[in-house]
Amino acid sequence: MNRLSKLIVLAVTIVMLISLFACTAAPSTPDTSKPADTGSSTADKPADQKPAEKVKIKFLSLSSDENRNRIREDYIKVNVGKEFPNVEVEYDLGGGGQDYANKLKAYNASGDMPDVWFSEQNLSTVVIAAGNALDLYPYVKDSDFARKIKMKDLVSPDKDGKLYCVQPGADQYFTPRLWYHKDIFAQNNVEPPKTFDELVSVCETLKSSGIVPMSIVGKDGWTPNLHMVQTMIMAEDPQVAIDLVNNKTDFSNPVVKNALGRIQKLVQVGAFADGVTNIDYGPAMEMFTSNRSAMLAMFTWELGNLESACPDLDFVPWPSASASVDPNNVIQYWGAPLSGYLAAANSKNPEIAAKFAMFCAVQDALYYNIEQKAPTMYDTGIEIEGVSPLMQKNLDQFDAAEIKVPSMWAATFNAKMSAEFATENSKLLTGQYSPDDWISVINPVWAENFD
Amino acid sequence: MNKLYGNKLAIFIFAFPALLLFTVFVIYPIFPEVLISFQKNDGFRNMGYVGLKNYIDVLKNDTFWRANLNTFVIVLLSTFVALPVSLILALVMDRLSEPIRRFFKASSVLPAVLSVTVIAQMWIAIYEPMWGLLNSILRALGLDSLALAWLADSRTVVPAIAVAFLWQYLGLNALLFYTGIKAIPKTYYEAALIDGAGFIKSSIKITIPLLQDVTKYLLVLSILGCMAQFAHVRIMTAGGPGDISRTVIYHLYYRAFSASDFGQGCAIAILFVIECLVLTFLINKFVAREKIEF
Amino acid sequence: MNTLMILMGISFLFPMYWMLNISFKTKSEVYNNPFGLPEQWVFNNYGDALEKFNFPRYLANSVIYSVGTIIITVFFGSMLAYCFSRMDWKRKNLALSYISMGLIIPSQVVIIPLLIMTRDLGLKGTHMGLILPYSAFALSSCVLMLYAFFRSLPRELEEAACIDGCSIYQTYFRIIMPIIKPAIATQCVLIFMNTYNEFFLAFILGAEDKIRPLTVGLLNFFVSIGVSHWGQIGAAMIITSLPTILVYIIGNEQIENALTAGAILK
Repeated sequence: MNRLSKLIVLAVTIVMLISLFACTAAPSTPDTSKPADTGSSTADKPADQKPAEKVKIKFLSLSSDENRNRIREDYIKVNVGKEFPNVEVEYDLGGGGQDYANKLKAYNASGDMPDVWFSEQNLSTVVIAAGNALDLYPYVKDSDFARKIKMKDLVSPDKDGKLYCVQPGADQYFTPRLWYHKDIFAQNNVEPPKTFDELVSVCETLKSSGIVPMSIVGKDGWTPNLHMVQTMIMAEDPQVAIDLVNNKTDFSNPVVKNALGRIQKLVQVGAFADGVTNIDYGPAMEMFTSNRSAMLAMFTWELGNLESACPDLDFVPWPSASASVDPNNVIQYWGAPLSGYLAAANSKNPEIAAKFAMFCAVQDALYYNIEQKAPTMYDTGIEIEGVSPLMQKNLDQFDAAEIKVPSMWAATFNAKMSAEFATENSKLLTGQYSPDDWISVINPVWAENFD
Repeated sequence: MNKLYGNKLAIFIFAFPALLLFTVFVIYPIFPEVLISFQKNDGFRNMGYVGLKNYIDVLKNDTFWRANLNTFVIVLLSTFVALPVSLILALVMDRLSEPIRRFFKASSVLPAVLSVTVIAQMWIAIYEPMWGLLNSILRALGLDSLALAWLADSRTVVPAIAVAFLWQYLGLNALLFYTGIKAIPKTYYEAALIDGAGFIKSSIKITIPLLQDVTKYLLVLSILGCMAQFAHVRIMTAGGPGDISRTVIYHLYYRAFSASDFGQGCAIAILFVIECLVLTFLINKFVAREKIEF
Repeated sequence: MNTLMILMGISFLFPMYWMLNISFKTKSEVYNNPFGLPEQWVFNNYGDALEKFNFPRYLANSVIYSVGTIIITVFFGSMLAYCFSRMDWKRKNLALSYISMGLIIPSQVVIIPLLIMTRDLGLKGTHMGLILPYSAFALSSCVLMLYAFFRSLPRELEEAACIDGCSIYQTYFRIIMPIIKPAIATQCVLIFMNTYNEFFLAFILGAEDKIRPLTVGLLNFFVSIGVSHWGQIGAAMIITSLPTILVYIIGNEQIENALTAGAILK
């Protein structure tokens, strides 16, 4: 009898487990629709009770870079009370890089998104494909936010009539620069390089006098990922970078191979620190600001921080590798349509989530206008005053450049492409990996990038 | 008595809660994984069943074999270097004077008690090419040519991680060996002493054979621990440079999460579980006289 | 030989020295003088670190996870181990192999189904949402070790109890449990060490700040200061390691007794 009862309980448990499994493991359609249903049915409730109790919103953001942290701590947290007196925000700090990506992907896979989060293009596309991102267009359409955005593309719906992401339009002004210490260059009698060959000889000179020529973020191939591969392509032929972004060519293009060869060349002449593949963002910045390296490959989003840390700071546009390319005439900019704040499709309070996302974008704009004295596409009404000469130089060159190419990493790569690109670039930085191997791995992945 | 032990209800009450907990949180999640390993799946969408394609892709990928090789190197280092060192430490410990032994016992477990994050960060600082401890010592000794970028050099990165990982548990294993030694009745040694056997001889003839159970136990645990190595790799190099220092679990993590290829990630998971089963089978067959319960 | 062993013992203390040392250094001195004693002692690293990260809450969470996991694992695990070693049932060996599977299934492998399940069981955002998976993953080694221990226990004790008319439950909780204390103590120590230091599950499953343990809090702290201010990192590492070190120092003798009782080795 006991054995029988044991069997029955076991059988019931197994059936329960299997049914549980069947519900959760079925392809995502029921998974995503289920929370969406409950979302809509409960959406009315908090609306009724709004005056009585605070609405809870969960907000996930990067916690690994200074700008993101200061925006969250000094702007969002400070101003949220005024704007949303009835909302209580739970802050989920997601780290950075792969940690952040994996955390967001795990949430996404389980259909359990935070109400609002910040993500770059490659992650946003994953979430949107899963149907987990809220269409913000109905909320943005006639809002004050949309009216104050100068670049209307940022608040216009896509070809399906949806808008998933709101951003302040600061990214469009970010571009990679080659920063250098004027004093260190003067001490070593070197001039800022204008061509790639000059860059190589500058590196050789600096290396021989015992200083690290150029600081880059080597961990996970970060600097090559985010801009250097593209920078080296554009140094020879910007059109190839434009074609790549528009999927009109692939990585077997000979210009790509030359570009990779140039990075390899830099590694071989000792342009980067020993063990560069293990150097993270913080230490790379530290290396430059503590004068242990002469140059730094970095985007202009660090301009403010660099200026206050290094009195002898200056920059040059990335040197060209071909006589036909004028370095001052080309710009690689970071902005991508899906980098910014997104809201969850299954949020219990979609309206509040959408408004909170716009609020966050405004806080971004305030931060960049006030703290970085950097322009944004969102008009905060703040007059940017006291722009530093260096920032002015940056903006002048930016505006004067005729060829502006978006970052392929930010604007086109999907998750798989980003991951493989990072792996291959990290190998490239060892100096013992050939561009041909690199191309043979990346090209097949690229072929599936737009699927 | 036997009636008591045969009571079906009692058996159920004693066994069921733990088995249920284990089934729900450890075994049950495997089933979706098996299914996914036959799908093209990016972590949230099933884009159709593809048969064995994921397995074939995984097996054709050089990185998978490199990850296996790296894991294998760590297992070998642990079995043939770290465990013998722990054993020797334990044998020596038995001969130490009480205050020194007490000091050694107290300090030996400390690394294992500290979190992986702390230990891994410390080794990063030790291996740091420009100001790290290891290279500073090498340069002070005039061995500049040996001062490598330990964690960025494809030749040294895997052993370097293995050293950090194995060192952390060296003292704990030594202490476990030592507890085994202490459990050996002193009468065995008295007989040996009369025969005039020295420390080395009595160790080889008496202590080590009698430590068989402990050895077996530590062998299995350390092999499985090495197989599942993930945390040190993740913190120290994130599998880099490139994919050079990935272990199997790290490769799995990379494919599933970073490259959003859950099909392949799950296929790697299944292959990994099979590998571990084969390994334990081999240990049972060749190492253990008695069967290890698996 | 003594000197060698002392040196070896000192090498095991090196992490402590290193953490303490860098925690008193300025940001730049860590780079210029990484392993020597600080030239200029800086004490506000601790203040800064404590200010930037919510230590008491994370510590409380870590303790809740460790203690909860210990209670569940040891209670149910020891019962199952006892059941394996004493009771007669048909599929016992099969069940034993089944439980052993837990040793070779890494938690990273099953993270997504786990995430979905904790949500569906309504455990998301609660401490139980982590305690239960932790316990399930700790069960295998706990059961196997205690099983080995029970097998080495003579049966006479229980037989005497049986003659006295105790039921199997009374026998187990009144007679057996007290005897296996050293083995249980060992288990508590091992589980504590693993749970307190666990990172991966906590990072993914413990999304909300109010349930985050120290390990995840520490990582957020690292990255939030850009992994470059080693002085503060050292201070944070000391602060988070302090509880384990204290437990270890206070419980050192007991732990060692538990280990030497042969609890896990028979």
